[in-house]
Amino acid sequence: MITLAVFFISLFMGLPILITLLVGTLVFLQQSDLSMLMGSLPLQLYGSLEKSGLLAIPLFMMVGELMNRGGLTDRLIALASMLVGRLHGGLAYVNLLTNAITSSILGSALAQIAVMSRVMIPAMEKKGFKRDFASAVTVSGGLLGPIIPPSMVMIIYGVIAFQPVGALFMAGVVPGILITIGFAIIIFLIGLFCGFPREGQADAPKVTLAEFLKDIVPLSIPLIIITGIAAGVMTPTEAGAIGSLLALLIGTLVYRSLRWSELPDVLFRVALNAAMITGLIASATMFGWALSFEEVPDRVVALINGVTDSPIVFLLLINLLIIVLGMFLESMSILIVMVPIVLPAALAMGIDPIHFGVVISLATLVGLVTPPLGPGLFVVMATTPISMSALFKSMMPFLLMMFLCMALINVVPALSLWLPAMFGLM
Amino acid sequence: ASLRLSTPVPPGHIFSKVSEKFAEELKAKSDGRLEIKVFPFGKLGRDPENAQMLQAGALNFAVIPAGFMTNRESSLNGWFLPGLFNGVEGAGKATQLPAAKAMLDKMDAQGMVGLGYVIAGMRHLISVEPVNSLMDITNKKVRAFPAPIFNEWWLSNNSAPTALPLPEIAPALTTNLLDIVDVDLDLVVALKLYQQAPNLTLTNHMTFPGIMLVSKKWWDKQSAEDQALIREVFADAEQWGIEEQAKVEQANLQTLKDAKVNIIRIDAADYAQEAKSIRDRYIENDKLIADFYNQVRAQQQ
Amino acid sequence: MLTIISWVNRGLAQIEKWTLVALSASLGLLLIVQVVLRYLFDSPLFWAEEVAVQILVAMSFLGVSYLIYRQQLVAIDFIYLMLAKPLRRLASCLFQLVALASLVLFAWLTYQWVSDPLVQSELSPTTQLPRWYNYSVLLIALMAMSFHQLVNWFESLRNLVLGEGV
Ligand code: NA
Ligand code: NA
Repeated sequence: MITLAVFFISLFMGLPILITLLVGTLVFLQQSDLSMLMGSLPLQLYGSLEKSGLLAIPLFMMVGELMNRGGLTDRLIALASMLVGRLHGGLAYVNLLTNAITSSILGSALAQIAVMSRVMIPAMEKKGFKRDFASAVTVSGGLLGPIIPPSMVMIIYGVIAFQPVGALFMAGVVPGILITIGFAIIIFLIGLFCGFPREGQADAPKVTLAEFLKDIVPLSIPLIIITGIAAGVMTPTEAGAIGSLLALLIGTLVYRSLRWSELPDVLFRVALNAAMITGLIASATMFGWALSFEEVPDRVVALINGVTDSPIVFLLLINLLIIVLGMFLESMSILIVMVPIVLPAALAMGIDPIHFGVVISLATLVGLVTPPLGPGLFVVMATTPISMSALFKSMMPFLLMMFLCMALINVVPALSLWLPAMFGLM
Repeated sequence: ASLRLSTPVPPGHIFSKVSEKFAEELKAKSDGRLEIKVFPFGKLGRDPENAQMLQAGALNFAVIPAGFMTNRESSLNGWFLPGLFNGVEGAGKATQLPAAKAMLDKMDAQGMVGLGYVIAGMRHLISVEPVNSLMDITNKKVRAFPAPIFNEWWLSNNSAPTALPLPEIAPALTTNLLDIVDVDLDLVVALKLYQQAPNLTLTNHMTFPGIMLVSKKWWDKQSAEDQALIREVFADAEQWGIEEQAKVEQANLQTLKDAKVNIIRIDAADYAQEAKSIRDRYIENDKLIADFYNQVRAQQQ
Repeated sequence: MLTIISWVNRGLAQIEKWTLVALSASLGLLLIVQVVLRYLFDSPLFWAEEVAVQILVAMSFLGVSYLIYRQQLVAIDFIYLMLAKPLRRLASCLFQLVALASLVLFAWLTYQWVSDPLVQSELSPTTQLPRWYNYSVLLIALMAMSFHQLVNWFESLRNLVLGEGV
């Protein structure tokens, strides 16, 4: 109880989550008469990061950072305009499609939203779209980041749940496409009932072969990454390494927008961004380990088993729990703290761990865009003058569609499992 | 509060089964005074954490693979001389040899007390393409336990040993990141590795003992009678474990036959040359390994 | 005195920064080399994975230290931001002290662990180098974190006394 109080007071008073977990562990061990475990904490902290699956995190960050600096992301936006820019409400679809394409490079929703909101919101506003609609499309599209591979959330789930990351990546592809189509339907319906600005169409560039070939080059990177993993030529980590090499070469030699002198800064940002996540993983794993000495996870399993024995009801409860937690907690930490506790219960009910990974990753994403703590909303608000309530309100149709897709993905495991099974990854 | 015993493997693995048996018997024979709670699956930590917690007295018992402990006590490499044993029974008998006990005594310097051994299944090869002789593994990628003697053994067979985490093995086999896995049958059956790699070559190239270790810090605080009782109870569990694993080995083989796995056998005689060069090097560097080797050979006569 | 401390603080952060650049570069390079060796020459480096993991661990802890220097660790501060300014300064000063105390305690625990002779005798399975070489990275990082945190706490203390900032 004291641990819980210390934990939440520190957390909400702005003590960094990582430090809160350190303090929480110390208080818990002290309170449960386990102080002799304190000597083991450093090895626990160190050992929790000695997992080769985590290597994919800095490498995919490197791909994303190099793509942005090298102007490869801009090329992808140009490519998307060429493909769907001529539709009614063109730029909204361009926004969504670019999000889907760049999702296959960036592994995090926040990075995705940050990149896209700088470019797409002003562009859409200039064409007469309302600011809140433009922002809502951008934030929703950003949610595709971790569903379409690669995905930091899936990497972390894979490491904690002891599941192959390649299979998890593939498991996200069909749900990712499903949600993209769902969002496109929402855009279409809004256009139908509320109308888009007359000047809404993008100045879609004429599709000339030369332009097309120039813009399609960066697409080779996600294609190589995804087919490399699916066909089993590379591990996710190696795919990240190769992707980084390609992005570096294309950015410096082909487009010449990345200078070699920028490289130290790129590498530094990669290290810092990776440390932000892995530092959290280390401290949360240590906290979870301390809890397991008092069999806290087992008690939670017993509690859940006492409530229901239906896998569907169980998944519904897990989704609700994570969405509620997501209102207050940062999504990566929810995953790190919750998975070791709820996975044993899921396995006991015969739920496939890969399917469960997709379900739980989707649920944590909702937290990114729900107030009061919605980091995804903050990222947009940092670049665009818009109030949180206006943004959240205009996101409602997209969120409803997201819930609909989530329900479908929860109930039909085949949506997640078909593709990895087809490639023999599970 | 009850004592804690940690194992790195699932509850169905022999390390965990022997632990449960040991806990059960000890509780009964001590009239409930010595109650052990078994934490399987590395819930309390993997091998490095378990070793550290035993040293610090934060954990009372743990089963740690001898392969991991070779990094701290090199005489344990004696167990991994290739081709030394042809089955679980032979390896089980060797646990009672003076040299095997002497290895346990060396755990004292590590802040641990070695109660005895838990013999897991023999190491074999499961592969994507059939392996009819060790010539067939030339230039192939073999997943091996991350310890020097495993690495040296596969290198001396001109293959490329790869250290890969457990959950990545099955996908790596489908995607040709791996060609062969150096593995026991328990794992082949539990992970259904034969779905990706349908060829099993029974090589018996190594045994894979775990050591039941006690925290010395805790042990020294127990009465002489309790220490004797714990040793006695574990000695029974140790024997039970060897018989149990021999049965499991047969059952696993039957499961694999029923699953239509292509089963090939390679005798130790077929890789005697390569085995000898590794063996000679280890015997030369460590007197206890030499003793162990001679005692095992004498026992096998 | 304070100028010297803040000069050391910045110097330490610069060292961390360039170490992070080097670690990040060597991680990328090592894994690219590994892929090339694996696919083109069928001879992967047995130790590559382990060394890469050790680089990641070092990068993580040193990175956290730099993030503490910049006060950029992820935090949930919406309630904190609702407080009146003087109250906020008090809370900040208090919680910075809690953070400092826990970091110092962890650094001390890590020192105990790394200097333990039993831990010092442990070798890495693939490289056969003593493990404590790696472990001491955590000790160094925790000491650096504690130092940065000390400076942060000084700053919050000064703000509290002078009624400035935040
Ligand atoms: Na992605
Ligand atoms: Na939220």
